[in-house]
Amino acid sequence: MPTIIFKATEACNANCVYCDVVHRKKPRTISPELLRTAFERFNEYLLEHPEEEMQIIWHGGEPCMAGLKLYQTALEYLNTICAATRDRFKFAVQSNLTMINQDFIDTFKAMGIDSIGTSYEPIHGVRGIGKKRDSVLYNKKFFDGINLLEANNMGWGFIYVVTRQVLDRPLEIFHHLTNLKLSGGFDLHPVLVYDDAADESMESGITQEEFADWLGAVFKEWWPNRERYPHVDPFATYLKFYTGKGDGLGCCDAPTCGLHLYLGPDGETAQCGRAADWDILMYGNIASKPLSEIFADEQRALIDNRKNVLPDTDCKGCEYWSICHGGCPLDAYNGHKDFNRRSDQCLSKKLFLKKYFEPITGLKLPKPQAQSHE
Amino acid sequence: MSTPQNNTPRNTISYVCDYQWPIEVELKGKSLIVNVNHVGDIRRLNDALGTETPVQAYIYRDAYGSLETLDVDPDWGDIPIVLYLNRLGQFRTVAHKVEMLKGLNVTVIFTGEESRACVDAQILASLGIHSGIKLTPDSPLSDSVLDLITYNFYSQMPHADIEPFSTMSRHYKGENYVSPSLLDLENPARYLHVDAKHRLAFTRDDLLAGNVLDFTSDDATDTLIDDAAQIFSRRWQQWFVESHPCTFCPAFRVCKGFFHAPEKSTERCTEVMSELLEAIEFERKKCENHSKKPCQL
Repeated sequence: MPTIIFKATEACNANCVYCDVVHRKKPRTISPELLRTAFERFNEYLLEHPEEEMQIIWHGGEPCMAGLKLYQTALEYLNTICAATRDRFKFAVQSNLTMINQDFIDTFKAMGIDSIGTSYEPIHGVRGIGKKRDSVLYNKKFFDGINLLEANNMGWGFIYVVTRQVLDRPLEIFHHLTNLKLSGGFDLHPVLVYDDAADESMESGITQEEFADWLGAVFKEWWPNRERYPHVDPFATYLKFYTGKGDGLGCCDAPTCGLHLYLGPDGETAQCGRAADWDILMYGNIASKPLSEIFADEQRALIDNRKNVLPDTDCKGCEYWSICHGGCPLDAYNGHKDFNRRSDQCLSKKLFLKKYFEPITGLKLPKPQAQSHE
Repeated sequence: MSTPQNNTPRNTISYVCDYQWPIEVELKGKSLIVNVNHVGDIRRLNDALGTETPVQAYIYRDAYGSLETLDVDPDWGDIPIVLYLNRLGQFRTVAHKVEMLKGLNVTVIFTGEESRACVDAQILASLGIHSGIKLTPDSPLSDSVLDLITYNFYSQMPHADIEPFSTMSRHYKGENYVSPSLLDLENPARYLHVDAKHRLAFTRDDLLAGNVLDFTSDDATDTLIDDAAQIFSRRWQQWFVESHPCTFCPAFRVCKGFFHAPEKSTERCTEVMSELLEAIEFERKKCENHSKKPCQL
């Protein structure tokens, strides 16, 4: 299923200490004309591929910064331009929830969205509103958003970004997050800081070893209490894979990126958000190219071929190939300027699994049934 | 969310009041929990209120008295009564009251010195009498409390419930917050505290501080109560807005900052409440396993 990360706006009302995009770009928001073109392209693709569905993830920036009108117009285009294909759309939204209101919720629900992905940060000064980075105001607005979602019977889950600011307090952070969402329902990620990031972002960066040890400290607490908070990732996902119940890998660990596409506010498309940040794997503008052509771009072969190259090079003999596949190709490019290298993030996964997950659980990764490059 | 048209009187909430004003008349028809100043008031008041004004519990407090010296009325029958007493007293005297107490609907909560209170609660519970200790934010949470928790949840010997642990366990579903304050009737889904001016609050402290709701018991409707309860039930979020140190504690879900005080170390309350959380989860699992249908051979 094609998944389109639709960054209709780059504008964001939040100010995160590690956020690279805020420092690097002037925020742009899609024009009404281009929005119409986008839906025409979506419809065109689905008509050409009657067996396919399409997932659109509203992303940003903060999607609500684009204004309610944009989503109401999108809904109108969905119901008119895409009348024949409407049932094959699946929408999702990633929002910081600090601007959400009933009108946004009504519009998102009309698109079939019943849950919103968000993120959260308990340490004051890491994330906040405005130049002063007001964390109390941010958190207050965040809870207003949560309350509104719950009043509308909408679910929510969040990611937590591990930064240097919390490196010395893994358990405190874990307990805070599980106190916020009592059965879990969040994903722990390392902060991604790019080489050309602003100084402030660089200072938040952590090493792969540090992230592995941070996860390990949390895992020691999670494992004996996993029934208390079952939905904590990456632990729950790893556990599924080690017990043969794996039901899919996230985009960073999958053998290929599949039909994943970034669509930006100026209509430019790229392999994903990271690719667009670095102006690589750019596939052209949706105003001049149909989606079928974009998805058929020859550059995709660079990514797809990785699964054939890595098992004989960087990942040769790696016991974790089936759970990692060399990691995100964009991360690999960021580190080595070559897609056919493994991602540096592999190290944290490997370290965590070998040093913590396997000894604590006593589990071993099931061997693949047949030698293949998947 | 309730609709604005829904103005029917709510009958699932109990009004917590002091028997210092004519509640028989002014709260007639409502479900009540009544704080009485004299144990002798209980039967008299219960007769006066009759079945029209159901009372969920009469609460009597004597900060210095013991069960030994309390006049237990054998005619209390099924009247639900909670006695907050300092201590058990001489057991050889209490022993004579045990059989009578077992025939009544009485819960005894001990409020005296913590170690003594724990022993007294355990003695009564072991005799089949619903008992407990009163935890306060200042409670030292000595090892006696841990022993009592262990006895309540892990003991193989039959015994009555011990508060506040049993009530906390009953209310904890894994995805909600509980706290020892449940024993103080702080539960917006069930209790509203009301004073002689008919003012309402969800906690006794709020009522005494004048932090009251903007409607009274006379004009309370399901809609008004539900909306106010929803706002009250989100108070925990303020702890997160401020990133309060208690939110980083593994036991916050069974405490909600109950033991917090400025300048106070959280080491002990974290330890004790974490053990309580484990015990409550053990109890839940036990109940879940017991709910399985027996094999029919």
